[in-house]
Amino acid sequence: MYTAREQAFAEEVRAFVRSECSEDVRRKVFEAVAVTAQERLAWHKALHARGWAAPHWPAEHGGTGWSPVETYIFSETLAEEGAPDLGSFGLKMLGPTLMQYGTPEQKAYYLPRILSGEDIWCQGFSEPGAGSDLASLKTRAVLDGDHWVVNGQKMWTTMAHESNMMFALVRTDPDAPKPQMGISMLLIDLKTPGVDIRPIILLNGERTTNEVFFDNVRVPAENLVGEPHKGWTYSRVVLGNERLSIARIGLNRRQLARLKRIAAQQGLTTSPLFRARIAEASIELDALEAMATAMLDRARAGVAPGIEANMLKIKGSELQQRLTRLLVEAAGRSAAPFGPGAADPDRPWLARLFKSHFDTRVVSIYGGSNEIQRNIIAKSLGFGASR
Amino acid sequence: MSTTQMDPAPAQSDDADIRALLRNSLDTVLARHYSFEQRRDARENEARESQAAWAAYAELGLLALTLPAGHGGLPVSLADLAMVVEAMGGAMVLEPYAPAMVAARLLSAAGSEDQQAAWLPAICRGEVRVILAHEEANGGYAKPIAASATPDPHGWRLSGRKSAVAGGDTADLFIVSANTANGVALFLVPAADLAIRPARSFDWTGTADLMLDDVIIPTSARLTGGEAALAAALDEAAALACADAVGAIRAANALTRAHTSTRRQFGRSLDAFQVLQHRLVDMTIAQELAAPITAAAIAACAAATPAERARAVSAAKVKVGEAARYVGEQCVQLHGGMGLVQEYPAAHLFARLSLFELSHGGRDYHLERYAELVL
Ligand SMILES: Cc1cc2nc3c(=O)[nH]c(=O)nc-3n(C[C@H](O)[C@H](O)[C@H](O)COP(=O)(O)OP(=O)(O)OC[C@H]3O[C@@H](n4cnc5c(N)ncnc54)[C@H](O)[C@@H]3O)c2cc1C
Repeated sequence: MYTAREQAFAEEVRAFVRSECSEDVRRKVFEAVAVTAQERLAWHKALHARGWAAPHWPAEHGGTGWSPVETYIFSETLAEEGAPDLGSFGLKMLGPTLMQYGTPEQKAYYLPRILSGEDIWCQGFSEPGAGSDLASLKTRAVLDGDHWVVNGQKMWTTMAHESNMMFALVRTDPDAPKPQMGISMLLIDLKTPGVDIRPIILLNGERTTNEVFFDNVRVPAENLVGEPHKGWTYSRVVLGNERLSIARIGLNRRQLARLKRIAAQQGLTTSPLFRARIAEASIELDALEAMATAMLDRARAGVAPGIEANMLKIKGSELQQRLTRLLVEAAGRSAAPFGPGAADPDRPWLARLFKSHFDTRVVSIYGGSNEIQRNIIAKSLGFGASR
Repeated sequence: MSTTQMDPAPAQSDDADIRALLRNSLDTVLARHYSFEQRRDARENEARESQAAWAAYAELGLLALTLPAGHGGLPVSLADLAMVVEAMGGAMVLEPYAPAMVAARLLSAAGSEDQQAAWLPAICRGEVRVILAHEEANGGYAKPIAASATPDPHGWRLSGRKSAVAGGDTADLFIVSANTANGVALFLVPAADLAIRPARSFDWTGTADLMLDDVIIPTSARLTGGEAALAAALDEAAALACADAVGAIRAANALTRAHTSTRRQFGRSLDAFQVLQHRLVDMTIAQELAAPITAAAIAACAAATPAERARAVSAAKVKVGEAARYVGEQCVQLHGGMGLVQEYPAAHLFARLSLFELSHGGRDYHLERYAELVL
């Protein structure tokens, strides 16, 4: 699917990951062990030193000036090689938003800090009552002199406990004619008095996400991104970024390789039924990759991805779930033990398969659930328009 | 849609009375011991809470069900036992009730009079937990047993490994399957004589790996019955696991319906969206398919020939497995983020149902066995 020049580029990236990202960390990623904040930061710094922390950013802001295709190759190669995810919040979501809509001061101050890893960002969009229906969010911000005073609650805020900053959607005009029109985007320093971050523990026992409470939190007025009440529009742009990599081809390749390895260890590569299941999953991946390639071709010609990106999100997430289910099936009941004492010294990887299986359930829920993606596609195709 | 629908019509009114009585006492004990919070506590203060629940099961006679009256048992039908297991699945109990009952039944089917007299009364009273240790790590429900038993001057020498034995962490006594020169044999081995690596499964139930490193056991430890008794016990274990799963499927459906009828997005309850209605309908259909085929498998375990039994059990395992997968996944999906958190039952139901699908032989094993029997 790559041209010779693109292939050479992929190899350069691969070599960089193998030399600069520690073997230990990559093994953790391969085996679905959580990477620590320090390990992630160390990798961030290595990429930053090479000038590759934000490949998709324009060169004037410290990006690489790569084409969308090169950026795609870069991120998929990183995923395939087990480089830890730097987190998309600062680099992929807020950064591009600020470039487009931020004030000159906001760009000058925040962008370098995102690039270097000095600021770690989290995304405060969802609330207890506002998940799929994000526009119904209630967290209030009221202007008091030169500060916005924020009250309310965010929920599911991933990494809030490891971040120092949050970009949040808040309601600034409760009387707007449509709920979407009364929302602004605020940059909130999480050390401000009145911010309370509480863990949400998932069944895997991990704290990856949080509830964040705001009690009269005073945020400087200049921390409002762009113009007041335009936050909804900006957030659509935020969520629309990274659409080329949406199918997670590299991640799925990595999981497929893991599946083949484990199936071989379990003696399943001779089972006709299991071989067929692996073949089906592999074919699904080939098909997704072909579809992503077609999207890349259009991107090369300057056509931005449309609903085919939503389709790839649905199918890519379903494939992730299929692959992790096959992983536990390959292990059978020996995948059951989990947590303290669970690791079989001879086959320590067994104790992590079920966690992967559980963890991938989220990929059809967040970032716009698969139901919401299908609603978007249906609307875009005009279904029901003649009603 | 009541649970009784899955039971065959009672032969006599006596049976119906016993069943009603059982159902009542079960509901009482599960209500007393198995709120979601108590379940969490049971996991945190393992020993104490779980002992209390086990004692309560014993007090109600649940640990004596289907066992011979002469040794302290209550001879009710296997369908009655399945009803109890189903309720336990719905409450997501952490204690290995079904595995212990399977092992106790195996002891009564394959043990000598002396072996039964020595252990069954204490088992029925809840003083001894017995567990069948059969599955091994090498991928292998279908594979031949690798654990071996060789004659020794003092009796038998056991070696090998048993993997992810449900309830193995709290067992007092194991029935261990092992290969001898003359085929598969079963041995009674006190847990104290074995090296055990206890752990929790992802769904919080207990499990253990057993290391059989040249364990010497007396000749008297060997059960009279062997391969045929083991095969029957494994089928019973799979059929009862289906009943547990049916209970969990019902619970997941009830939970998802309640959530989607109260959670509002876009100004409507979630269950007002037609695509989610269809999902809820398919979850209900899956449940209605799973319950009767489980009842058929239980009936076949109680009465049919080994081949008929195998066919009915494999059919149930495949079909209930599909239902478990679909309902477990949709239960999480329709809850959104709430479907994943530790403090809410949805993720626990997903985990229990996923683990069910992997246990007692996966889908491929049962498809192949079924195909052998019908083609
Ligand atoms: C682990 C995790 C991390 C997260 N991280 C973040 C984060 O960092 N920042 C952040 O802001 N948010 C985050 N989220 C929130 C995530 O975006 C929401 O969970 C998601 O938007 C779904 O919202 P909900 O959980 O409230 O589910 P709901 O919106 O209540 O949806 C429940 C179910 O109903 C379906 N549904 C809803 N509306 C419709 C409809 N109109 N038609 C058909 N079906 C519908 C959904 O698809 C879903 O299946 C995270 C969530 C999780 C679980």
